Amino acid sequence: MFPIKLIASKKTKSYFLGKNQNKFAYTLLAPTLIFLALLMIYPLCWTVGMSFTDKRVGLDATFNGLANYITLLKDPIFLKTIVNTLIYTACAVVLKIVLGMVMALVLNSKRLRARSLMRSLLYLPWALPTLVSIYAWKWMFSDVGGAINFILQKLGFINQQIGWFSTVTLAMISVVIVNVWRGTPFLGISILSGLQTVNQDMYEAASIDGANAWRQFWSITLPQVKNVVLLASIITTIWTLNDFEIIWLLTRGGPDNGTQVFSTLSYTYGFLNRDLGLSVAISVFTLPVLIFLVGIAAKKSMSDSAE
Amino acid sequence: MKTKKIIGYIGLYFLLAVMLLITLFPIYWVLVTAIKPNAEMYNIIPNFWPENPTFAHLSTLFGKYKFAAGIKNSLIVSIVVSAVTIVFSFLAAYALARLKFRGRGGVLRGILYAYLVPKAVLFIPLYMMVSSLGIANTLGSLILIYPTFTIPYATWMLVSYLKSIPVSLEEAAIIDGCNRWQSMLKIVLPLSMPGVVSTLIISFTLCWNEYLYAMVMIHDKAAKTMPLLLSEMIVGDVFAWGPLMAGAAVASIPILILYLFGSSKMVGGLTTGGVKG
Amino acid sequence: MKAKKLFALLTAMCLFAAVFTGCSGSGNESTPAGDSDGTTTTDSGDTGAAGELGESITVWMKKHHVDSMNIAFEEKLEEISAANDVKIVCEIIAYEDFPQKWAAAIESGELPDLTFMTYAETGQYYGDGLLEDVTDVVTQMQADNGNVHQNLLTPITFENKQYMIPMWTESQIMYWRTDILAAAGYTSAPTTWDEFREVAKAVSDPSKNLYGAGIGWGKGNSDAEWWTRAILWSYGASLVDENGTAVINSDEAKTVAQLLSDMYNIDQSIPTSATNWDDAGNNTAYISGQAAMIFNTGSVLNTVKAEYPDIYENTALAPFPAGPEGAFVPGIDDGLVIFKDAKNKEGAKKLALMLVEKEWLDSWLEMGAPLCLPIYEDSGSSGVWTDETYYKPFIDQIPNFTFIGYPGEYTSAGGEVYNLRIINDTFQKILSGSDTIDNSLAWAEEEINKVYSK
Repeated sequence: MFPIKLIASKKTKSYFLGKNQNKFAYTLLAPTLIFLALLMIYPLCWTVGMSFTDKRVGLDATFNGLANYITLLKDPIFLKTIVNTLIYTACAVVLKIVLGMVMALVLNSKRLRARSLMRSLLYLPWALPTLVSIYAWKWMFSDVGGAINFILQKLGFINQQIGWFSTVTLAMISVVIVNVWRGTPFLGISILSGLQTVNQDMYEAASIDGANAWRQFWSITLPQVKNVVLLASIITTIWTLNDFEIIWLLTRGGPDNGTQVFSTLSYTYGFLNRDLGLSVAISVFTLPVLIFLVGIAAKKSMSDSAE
Repeated sequence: MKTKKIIGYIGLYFLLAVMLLITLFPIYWVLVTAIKPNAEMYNIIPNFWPENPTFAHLSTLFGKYKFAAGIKNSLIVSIVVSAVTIVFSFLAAYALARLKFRGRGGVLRGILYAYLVPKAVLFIPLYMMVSSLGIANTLGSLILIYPTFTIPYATWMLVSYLKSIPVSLEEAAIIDGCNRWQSMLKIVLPLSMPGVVSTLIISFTLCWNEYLYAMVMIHDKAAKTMPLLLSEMIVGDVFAWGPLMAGAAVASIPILILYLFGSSKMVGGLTTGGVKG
Repeated sequence: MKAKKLFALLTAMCLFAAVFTGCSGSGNESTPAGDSDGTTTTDSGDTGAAGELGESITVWMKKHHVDSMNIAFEEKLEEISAANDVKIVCEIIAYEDFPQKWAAAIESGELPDLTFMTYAETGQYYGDGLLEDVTDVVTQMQADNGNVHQNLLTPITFENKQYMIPMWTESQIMYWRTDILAAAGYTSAPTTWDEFREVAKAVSDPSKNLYGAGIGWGKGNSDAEWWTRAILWSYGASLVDENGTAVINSDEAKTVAQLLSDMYNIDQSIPTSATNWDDAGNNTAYISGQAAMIFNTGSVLNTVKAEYPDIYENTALAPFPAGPEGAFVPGIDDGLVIFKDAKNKEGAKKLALMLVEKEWLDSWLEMGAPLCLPIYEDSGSSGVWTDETYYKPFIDQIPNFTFIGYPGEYTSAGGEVYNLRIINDTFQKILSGSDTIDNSLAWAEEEINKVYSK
């Protein structure tokens, strides 16, 4: 027990050689920072600024303070949207993390043959063009020529076809399934790479000392990859929160606004009804949550480099 | 002991089989549809293998829809953008992972703030910027814009990969006389290859499948990227399922190649004889 | 130090390469004319002064189902460009992509000179003051080519001025399977909604996945917004009255809701998945044989004729069933508009006149018949349109066209109500049983009033 604990708890220290670090650091950061500053500052300011105006497409914007936000908070559809977005994001992200971890562990296993091939195959959902994977699933869920209903009926699980998008609950389940199917490889690959930068010697030493697989996972694997897992989770949360295509193409937010999320509502208000101020305000609503998530990630990153 | 091993094997392969089944079934559906003739497309009872498989959809794909041009354009954009992304992001990640400097927290946060506003809203000001630069409607506009969503992800992921490389290795190198650049490029970079390669692949994929920016920025047929050509096969309520699925299959090939190629680089890490302990 | 320099150089090269690729990338306006797979930028060369169409015109047109129409349109533009010494840039765009492209164009100032719009969008963009008055073009085109169906002009006329140049129309019609109906003892299509219900019920067999009424709703469904309005109007119900006050919570509307709900829940003559169909839902249902009767434009006929001969042989067309107040057909009215801030409005107007010249226009629309229908009054009585079985039923519906906003005029608020899919939402609630008919209609009335009172 003793040797494992010692190795696993050794923290990576960062080190610094005097004050020269500022210059060197900013030299390395320069391309990224300049690029992002040039390209993102104007759009971000435009967006946030626009949410406080009554901007419509093609018309001038006049400042109207929090009017958009008040309109939204009074709109029952918007309140429903908040709930839907939370459910959708939470369910999808949790599933993706768990399944991604399983995928990474399986692919990292030394007993696995044809590893490259397996990895490539499991990566396919992410590789397939989004549009096509969405429509393929739509077809599979359909009651006309749909494989899922057909198989379930053949296996005797159901008697009549299920309308996978016909009720609010089923529709939410269906869109979550598609999002998880598409997004798990991202987590799988990210975690896998994290697993592979772990020193393999530690596992050897641990087996010699009699630790079983679960103990090894808990004491060696998890601490080493928790950085990567946390980070990939945060990024995937941000992406899922802003996800548009899957819901738009499968249900457009229906039935009865049951799968309406921020991105789809924002599109409807902003481009179909051309109320840009309102539509941008919807996006800005998510800012506090996102800033909070980014803050967690940053804090974690900073504290890991304790002196 | 042996039974444990066997159970381990069975468990592993069972899990693998389930994952492969769920992952690959939709893919299989795509492939089968690509060779299904139109007459069988709307069968109310799904057929899992076409009665009269056809390759006509492939020729429609490359003939009528000029898919090769789309692939070419997407390749140009994705390769350039992911290369640039990796270079920029690796440098930035090294600074963020290894160096202590003023404003570190701010920079960390600032980079990820690029994700605060969704693309569905950002595209308007970005389009305005791009058209005032005069490069609207060219692949250059995409090359300029795509890093806005690849760099933040790449930088952050690389930071976490780099952190799991023990500092002691670099310390040893510096003691031996390397400067920071050399230790970064000769020690850290090779060891972080799995992370670098996987980041590269995911960045490439993000560019490869991107639709919205391309749809808004590109007007000319000759400059259309692959996702745009795919969506051309859907007109209102009429879907050209055959060519669409065939196109998807073809479009997945470059990524698979990239992945298989990169996979070999992803093994290793610290087993390549570094400093022990 | 060396490595540092190398890196700086590499980075600079990457950036430079990126921008350079952009500048010399395909698609710049200096592409030479005649690129066969390039842009349809037709350049007549530097032959001196620009003709009466100006120097350059940018045209955005909707992508038609029938590909030959898209090709012919581009060819026509090339012809005009060559004959008139003007550069014409044409982009064929999928209908769903238009809203974002318009937004980006309007905000950045890079507007097309002439663009496609349906009457619904015309009203909305007019409401924001973004469109040019094109009354002169409409007057001229009628003087040159004969009258356009007058009811096609109504929804795009605001304060006695026209804001869209009509180019074609589409009609919704009922498709029915002669074989399936015959098997249940019916040799002709139902003519009233009550008959429709009866026939649908007789024909349905849910255990075999066969349903009589292939009608659905769904947020992605624009079809449903149209035909639901049609049935409501035919029972004397409407969304708003002439003054724009919502009146949907009426007894007549309740009758309709009850009828549809009974069909779904009691008769089981509507597929269960239909509450979340998108526009392709009824197409798929019909082509696969799941549904015996559907309402759609000519897109289904073209598909079925091309690919599914068995179904084509057993397909017949019929007008919309009538309610107590008669039969109403949801009207579609598509054409060209000019943005007020476009750079070459005069050229655009002249180009538009050329594009609605009767002989060419009619021949172009024939390629897409019966999906696209001609707009001139006397076009419908000659040529392919006299075909009784397949084409005439569509043409005959035009005089019955009713537009959003009925019985009042079409206004931008009506378009918004349509975009928000309030009717779809309402009927989804009713049919899926998540709310009672009374509550759902009350909800609809509230929502509609909210939009109209903005």
